[in-house]
Amino acid sequence: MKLFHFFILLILGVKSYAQIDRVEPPNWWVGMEHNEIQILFYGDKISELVPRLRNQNISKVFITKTIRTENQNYLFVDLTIEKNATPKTLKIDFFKNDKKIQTVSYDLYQKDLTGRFGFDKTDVLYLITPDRFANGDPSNDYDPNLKEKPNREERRGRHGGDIQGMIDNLDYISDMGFTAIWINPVLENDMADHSYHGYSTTDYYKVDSRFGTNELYRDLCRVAKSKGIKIVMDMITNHSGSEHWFVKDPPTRDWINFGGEYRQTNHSHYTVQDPYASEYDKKAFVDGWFVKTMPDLNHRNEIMAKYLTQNTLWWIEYSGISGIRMDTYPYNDKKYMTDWSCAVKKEYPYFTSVGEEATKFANPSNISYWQEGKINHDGYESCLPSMLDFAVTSAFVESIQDFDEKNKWKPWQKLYYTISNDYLYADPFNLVTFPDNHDGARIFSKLNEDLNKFKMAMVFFSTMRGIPHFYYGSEILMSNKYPTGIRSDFPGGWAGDLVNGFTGVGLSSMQKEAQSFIKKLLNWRKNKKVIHYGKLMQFAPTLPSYNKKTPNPSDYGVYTYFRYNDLETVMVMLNNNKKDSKINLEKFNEILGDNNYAYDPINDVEIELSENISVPANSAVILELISK
Amino acid sequence: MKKFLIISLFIFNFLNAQKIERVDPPNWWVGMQMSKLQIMMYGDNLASLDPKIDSEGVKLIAVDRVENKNYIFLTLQISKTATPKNVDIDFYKGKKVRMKHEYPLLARNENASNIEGFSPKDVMYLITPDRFVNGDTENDELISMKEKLGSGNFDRHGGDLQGIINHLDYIHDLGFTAIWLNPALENNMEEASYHGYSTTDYYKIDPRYGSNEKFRELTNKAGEKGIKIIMDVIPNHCGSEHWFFIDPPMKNWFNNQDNYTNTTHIRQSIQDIHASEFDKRGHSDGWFVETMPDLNQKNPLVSKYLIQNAIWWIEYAGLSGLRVDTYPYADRDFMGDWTRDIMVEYPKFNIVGEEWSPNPAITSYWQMGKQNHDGYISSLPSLMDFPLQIAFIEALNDDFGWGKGFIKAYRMLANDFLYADPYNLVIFPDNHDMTRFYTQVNNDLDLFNMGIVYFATMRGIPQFFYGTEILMNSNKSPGNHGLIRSNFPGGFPGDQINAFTRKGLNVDQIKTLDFFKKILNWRKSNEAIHHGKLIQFAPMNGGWDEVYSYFRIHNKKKVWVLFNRGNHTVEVDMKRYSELIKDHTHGYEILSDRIIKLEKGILMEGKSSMIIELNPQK
Repeated sequence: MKLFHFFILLILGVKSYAQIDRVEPPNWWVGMEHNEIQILFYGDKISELVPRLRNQNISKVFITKTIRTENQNYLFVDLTIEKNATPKTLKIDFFKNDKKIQTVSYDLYQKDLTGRFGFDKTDVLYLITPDRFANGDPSNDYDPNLKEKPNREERRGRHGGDIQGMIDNLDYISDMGFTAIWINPVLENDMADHSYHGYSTTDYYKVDSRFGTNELYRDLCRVAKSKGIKIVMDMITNHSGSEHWFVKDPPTRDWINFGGEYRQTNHSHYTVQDPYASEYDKKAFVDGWFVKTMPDLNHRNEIMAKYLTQNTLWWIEYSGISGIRMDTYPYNDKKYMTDWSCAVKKEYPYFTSVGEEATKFANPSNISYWQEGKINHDGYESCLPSMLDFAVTSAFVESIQDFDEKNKWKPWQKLYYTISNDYLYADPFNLVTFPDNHDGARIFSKLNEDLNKFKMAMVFFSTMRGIPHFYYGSEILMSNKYPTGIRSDFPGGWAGDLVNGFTGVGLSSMQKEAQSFIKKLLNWRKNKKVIHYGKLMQFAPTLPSYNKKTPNPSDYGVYTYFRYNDLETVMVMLNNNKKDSKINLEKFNEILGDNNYAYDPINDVEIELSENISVPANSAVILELISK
Repeated sequence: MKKFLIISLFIFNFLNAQKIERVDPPNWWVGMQMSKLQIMMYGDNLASLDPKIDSEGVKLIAVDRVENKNYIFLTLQISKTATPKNVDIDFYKGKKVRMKHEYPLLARNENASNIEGFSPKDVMYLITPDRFVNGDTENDELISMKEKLGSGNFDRHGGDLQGIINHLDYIHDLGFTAIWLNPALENNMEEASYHGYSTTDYYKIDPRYGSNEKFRELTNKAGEKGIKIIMDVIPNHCGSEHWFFIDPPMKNWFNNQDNYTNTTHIRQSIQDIHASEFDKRGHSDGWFVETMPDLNQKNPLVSKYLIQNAIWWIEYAGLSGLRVDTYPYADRDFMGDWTRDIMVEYPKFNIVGEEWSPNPAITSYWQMGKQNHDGYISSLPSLMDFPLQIAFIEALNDDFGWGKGFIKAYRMLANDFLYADPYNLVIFPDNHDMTRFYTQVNNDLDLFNMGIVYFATMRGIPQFFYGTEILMNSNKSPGNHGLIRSNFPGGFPGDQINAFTRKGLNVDQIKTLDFFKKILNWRKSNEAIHHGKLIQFAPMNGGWDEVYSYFRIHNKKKVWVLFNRGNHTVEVDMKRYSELIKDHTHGYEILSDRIIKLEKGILMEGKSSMIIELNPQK
């Protein structure tokens, strides 16, 4: 800071005048619902300045308020942009004792009137950790202005993946059948180490230069859109990085929770809804810091709240993203999240945001609390359309593993029970479902590298209610054993890679099989309205026969569900038995109706629906029912 | 059937022997909310007769004849002004009166409709009547009853109502204020009838337990000692030896009437918005077991029969509560009607349902006042809190580490937002269907004591199973129902050990008896436990779960309950609790009878509990 100060003095020569260094948001738009904006000005001792907007009456833009805080380096200026204002560059003059010191140009662009449309049930998301996918521009790997240098050998190091790498491989992603990409955070993380994951924001308005630029991110959104791919941005309102400039020089004493001093959150998500929670625990959860390097932002401070909400709207409008994945959702102040989600909805009614409520003991009663439309016991309201369905993820993995002689009484029980809790959600069909993500073990590893079970997982998440997301590299069976763990580099993403997942060079036959399986599955799903919008009917997984003398029911160990609408019915059977099952179809009569044939889109065969149907050991079967 | 009919006509014509064998309910009362009474009469070819009533304030408004000619259903409208009397019912054949029946309409007991149900002020003692005390050896074996005494786990052992009456003082002295009695209605089954869940007569106490009058004597005498009686009722099914299963009134009196089909136990198909009809029917219409035919409560005659039966017992015996068996197995809409009609009749009553689910999202569905996703309305005031029982036992027995131990019970309680009224749930460490609590904690007396303190001070209405107070266990075969329901020592002729007199009890058993007595008698008058708001603190002392604590607060009374599950003495950090300790300088610890200073950290021994009454604030 001292140095920086010195630098400014140098520029200004002898005149030791206040100088504005940062303006956030850097611009705004006319035609926004959110037309009362608050601009943050930051610079050495600028609070003494008085802003005046030129030609207020002509431009239909007015300064309504100027807020000074206890930190003299900040000035917050409230601007009202009237509905009939037109795009222009505003000139804001800053005066000291009636003497003009500085003029800031502030652009007002036209809001994109085509609107912003969110990802939806027709989509399948591909989750990418940008540092680890593809290094499309090696020239940005190293930025002398940023603390952490590249180190591809290091598990927690920066590997050089970037936005250009994603742009270069959009065709691959599209061909695989994905229609959306959720990208882990790309904003600047100028942390000393461990910055590659992106969850320690140090600048809310700037893409990390090692990933690219704001403009390149916007290009990605545009090019992806032209290929039918939506971009979902990962955002974090709960905390920033400890190297954020406003953490080092906070505008107010209550900018960061616990007075800016590190206090660990207790991670007790339950306090949010617990009718008996102590004040101590509630505060410890919401106000405690996620980790020491992630100071917890105080959303009860109105300036902070407005800053973050505007930042969200800015990115949506600026980049053209189709969705937001909101990190550590319940760790935020919950009243603020109502304001935040409703502000997004008001501005972009068809946009989609999805929240992360990753309790270790994922419980639909807790997850459903946050979804728009849920009638809560305490009257809590939300405008958040979607939640990540952690409950189904853990239930699926446990269920598929829980099936052996020892656990013969619980085939698929956890999964079935979890899905039968869907009544707790306002809209279970709009949840985002997933076999794994960047925070947990790779699905292939969780399934003990069993390709058959892996395929069952892919079929399940692609056909179950909800919007599936898969983690990059799942399609080529990336596992926990990869050199740098769960978030290892996608092979082929770096020049000189011997194996190339994009071209198939060097992939094992098993990897190729998995890749083509997913490609087929997702491209089939792309056009299946009954999967996108159809209802769900599930049949309780059958228990074994109580009596040892009588054989087990024919569908023992098989979980069967249907997706259906007025025109189509798709039947999905997941057989967890180690041997083939011959399933008697009689119990499904209420939904089979007069369908007498079925098409299997994976194996591209048509079968007759007779009394029994064969489902191979450890496999998933998809059948589109046909009446002839 | 045809043949039977011919024979019966023959008999009737020549001997004029047609008679009414059964009248259910056997009487009713005037001044009830339920003014439309359905009387089911059973007797040879009764349907051929025309019943008529000419009585002031009582009108016969419908006569239903069904497929089986041996039944006739009369619906009586009893006006508000009707007075107690015997109503003459004349049965005509053509113009001739063939038969008469005097139907008693009784006067109600004073304040009958104001009877108070069990509440959080109470602690329940659960008794399996065949296994508690044999107070009358005369009724052990009866010619009219198929099953005789035996010594096996699943045999009848001879316990009875007189035995309970004889030991009400023992129960009272221990501090219990309510008795939930496992079913006492007639179970005239060939075998394993001791548990009582196979009703063969809905209006008759099993004569091996006593009589209807004896049952009423029990409720009266218990009432005098401040002990409420809670009856165990089973509207879902009866026993396969029930006379109306043997000669059913109609084809749809039961579900799957001619073709036993077991329930699939897929209870959550009720809530599941994606459930198939196959699963919904498979659960609801299947039989609990082969000897328990599933009553079809969608049949309005069955529904009315069961509703009246419950009300009849409440009114007849002066009950203070019902425990409803296999709650979600009965027809869901019927249970809505059944609970509603009872609660309309007795607005202060309490009923607790058994929904054996680990998930409070499911159990809470059934509680009165819950806003359900599907609009389902229930009038059931209370549920058995199985989720908390399961979570708490896991917590006690757990390893140590992140996410282990008390956090499981803490987390479960945090889900209480799901309930319309969590304070009215019945909480328990075990019951007649579960491994004995002492066995569940692997005979660890310290953990056992922590459990007793927990259930005695947690929100809700505690229930303990008979014999828990003397550490009865099921170690030999933990889940064996017959063993779980072993004889209470001292209740049977020749018992060497007698818990009532303490003869032959070991030191641990005597200590536990005194421990119960102390806590429950303390609880009896503690308003903070009865009515107090609960505030809990996440079990995170020292990084994980050794210490867990909560407060119960009512007006100015505060009770602080603490547990240390770890093996070592810890100092409890007072700062964490300052929002509730405030200016209280000291408290009185109930278990050790000593004054505790609150300024500094409290030292707590490993595997121990504390109940601290905070001193009144200045």
